[in-house]
Amino acid sequence: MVTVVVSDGVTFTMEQDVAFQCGLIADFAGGGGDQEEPIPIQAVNSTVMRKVIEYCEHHRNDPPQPEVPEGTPLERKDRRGRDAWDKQFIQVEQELLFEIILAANYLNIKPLLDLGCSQVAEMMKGKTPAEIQQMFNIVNGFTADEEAQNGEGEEKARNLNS
Amino acid sequence: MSLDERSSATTILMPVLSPPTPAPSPGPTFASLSDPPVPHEFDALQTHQRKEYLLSVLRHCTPSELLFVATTVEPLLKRDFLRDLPPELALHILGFVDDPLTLCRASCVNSHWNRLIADDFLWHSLCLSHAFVPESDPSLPLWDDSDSDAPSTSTTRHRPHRSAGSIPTNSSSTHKHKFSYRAHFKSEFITLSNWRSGGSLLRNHRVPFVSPPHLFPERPNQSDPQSAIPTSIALDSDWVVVGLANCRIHVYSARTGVLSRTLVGHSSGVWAVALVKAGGHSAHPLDLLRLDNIRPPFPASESLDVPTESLPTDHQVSPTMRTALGLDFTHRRPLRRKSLSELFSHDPITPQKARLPGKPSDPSGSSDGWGQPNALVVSSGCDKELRVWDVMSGTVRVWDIQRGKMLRVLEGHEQSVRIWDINTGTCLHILRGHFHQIYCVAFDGVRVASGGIDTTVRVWDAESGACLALLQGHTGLVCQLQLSPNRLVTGGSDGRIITFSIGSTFSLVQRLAAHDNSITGLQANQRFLVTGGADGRARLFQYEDDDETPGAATPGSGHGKYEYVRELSEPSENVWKVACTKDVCVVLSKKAGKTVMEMWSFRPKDST
Repeated sequence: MVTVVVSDGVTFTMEQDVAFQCGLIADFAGGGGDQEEPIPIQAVNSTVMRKVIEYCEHHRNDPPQPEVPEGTPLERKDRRGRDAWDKQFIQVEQELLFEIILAANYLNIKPLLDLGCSQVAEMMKGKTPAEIQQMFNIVNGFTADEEAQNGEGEEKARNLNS
Repeated sequence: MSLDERSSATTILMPVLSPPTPAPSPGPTFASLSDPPVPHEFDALQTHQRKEYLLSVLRHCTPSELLFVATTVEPLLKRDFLRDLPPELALHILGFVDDPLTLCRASCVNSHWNRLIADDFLWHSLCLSHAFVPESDPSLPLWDDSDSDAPSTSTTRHRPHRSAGSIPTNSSSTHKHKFSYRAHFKSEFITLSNWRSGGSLLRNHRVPFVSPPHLFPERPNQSDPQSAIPTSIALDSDWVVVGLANCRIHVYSARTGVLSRTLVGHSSGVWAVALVKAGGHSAHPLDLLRLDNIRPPFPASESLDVPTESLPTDHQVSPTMRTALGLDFTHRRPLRRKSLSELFSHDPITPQKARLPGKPSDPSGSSDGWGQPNALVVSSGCDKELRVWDVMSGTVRVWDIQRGKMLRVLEGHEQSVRIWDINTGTCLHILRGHFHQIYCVAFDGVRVASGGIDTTVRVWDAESGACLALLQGHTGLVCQLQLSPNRLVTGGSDGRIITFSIGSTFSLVQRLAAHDNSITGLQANQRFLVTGGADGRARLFQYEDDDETPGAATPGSGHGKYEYVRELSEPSENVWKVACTKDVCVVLSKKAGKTVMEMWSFRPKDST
């Protein structure tokens, strides 16, 4: 069993195979035996940690992901290991998604990081710039000069579309 | 930054504290919210106390106020992921965008996104996922061996490892000057969509009927329509060379479509042309000369005497010729030359191909140069002369295989194929098996494929001469072949295109009913298959990978199938020849009784 304590003081106890999907915890525990001291994880709060543990428990029996070589076509990279459960799991509020991505990066859980990032990419897919701005609450911070370039970009996008 | 505060920021109307990098997005509503009535006491509260406080406030709100709270809170819960996340994570997210349109649109969101998406690494992986591999063509003057101007880190960091060996320099520091994967992607993508949707017609030439009197003495008038029949075509990114049955060779610019030169000199119909690109490198000079297999569209009845002239040796080569051939650039090994009589001794109808181990010449009939300043045209015809032409000057350079280093020449000789070693002039193998006349042969250095009237295709091992496979499927004679490392595309008089996967096993992959009449031309490149038929249509097919087959990640894995895309040209009476490079396609057809050459360009408009 591995015990961790997160930023808001909540303590989580989990099986070793669940916990060791987090590269950070695996490094902490050093691979040897049960930990007496809870591992402090200051960068993650309990809401996010609960979500992360849910992910790790679901994937505890997964075979280890083969290392994807640099330059693998993206579609193929995306396609692997995203089942229906994952899709349901990652349908969360933007804020939580944001925290999950940060936590997955911090805890070093590559599949979860990829899942979160591909979800953001998925949200952007097929949207116009205005729709993206609205979706992510982004202020249009372009200067007039850049706005002109934008026109070019739009034209290019149209070219690509045709 | 305390994490307590950050986590609580999700539940209260307070500015979100800054995530690691970069600065948080400036929320438009923050200014009005920065003066709540009890800010200091609120700040002092513990997390759970804050929540209780907020709950108590909310309980006192009217429904309309709650609605106001809800609408105010909603945008605050949205995150600008690309700005709020550390740049490496933002790029990781963008790495999952596999669609260029989305990337282009996202780059218009704001200047921060724009800068992020300008990162060449993204475009590099997008190039890879679309198989837009940049040409590492060493003949292009893009190689910059100097280390003086170091490129930006984002372009060097992710540059694919170049295979050393072909580049005789310090391979680690070699890089392309100002190469941008973004620009490369853009150009390739536009080229691709032009292929699919129809490019721009560069030029529409009518090939004039010129009938040399000595060729058809019985028909001295100038209007013999047979004389303008194109027999052969070769093209690269600069030139299109068309050999005609009227002894002439027309050279067009592949960039503008303008007729650049007419090469006159052959005394009889030209049957085969090949093109050697200008420039190149001198690692293996004159390596890759190939003559395409050409069958004249009319039976050649004359049997001319084979000229057995004495061949010039090195010291007899004139200085201009030395320059044109780039002889002084290379360190050469002396080779025994082969006389033309050996080359053409068997059959005036001589389908022939040759190559040395190394990079094979293009299916479009062009091969890499060896450092010579201008492109060269090699032609042969009924007159049994092999001529080498300098494209720029249009003068005859040599009268034979100047430095005959071709390894093998194939001949489809009635019912057998002969493999010749051109260096020694000996016949290595006679491949027997076909029951009737052979119409086409193809050779990739390892294997020989042949097809003929008996409707079968045979694949032979060039080393041992053994027949590796007997491929059946056509119901008419097989007249077109294209051999690539793991695929064999054949066309027959039954109008079918059949794709075979060849490798350790041989199997029929796909049978396409491509035309309503005999296939007269076919050429496959990485993505597309261009076919021409006697039904007057030129059609475009697209290669689709077979996802079920493991290892079929790249085009050309042999198991993919072709899907019909569109007609390449207006219907005509007959399509004589089709040929294409990566971004140019040439259709030679008969329209209203005249031979018409159409040249289509699929390049982006702004780059020439």
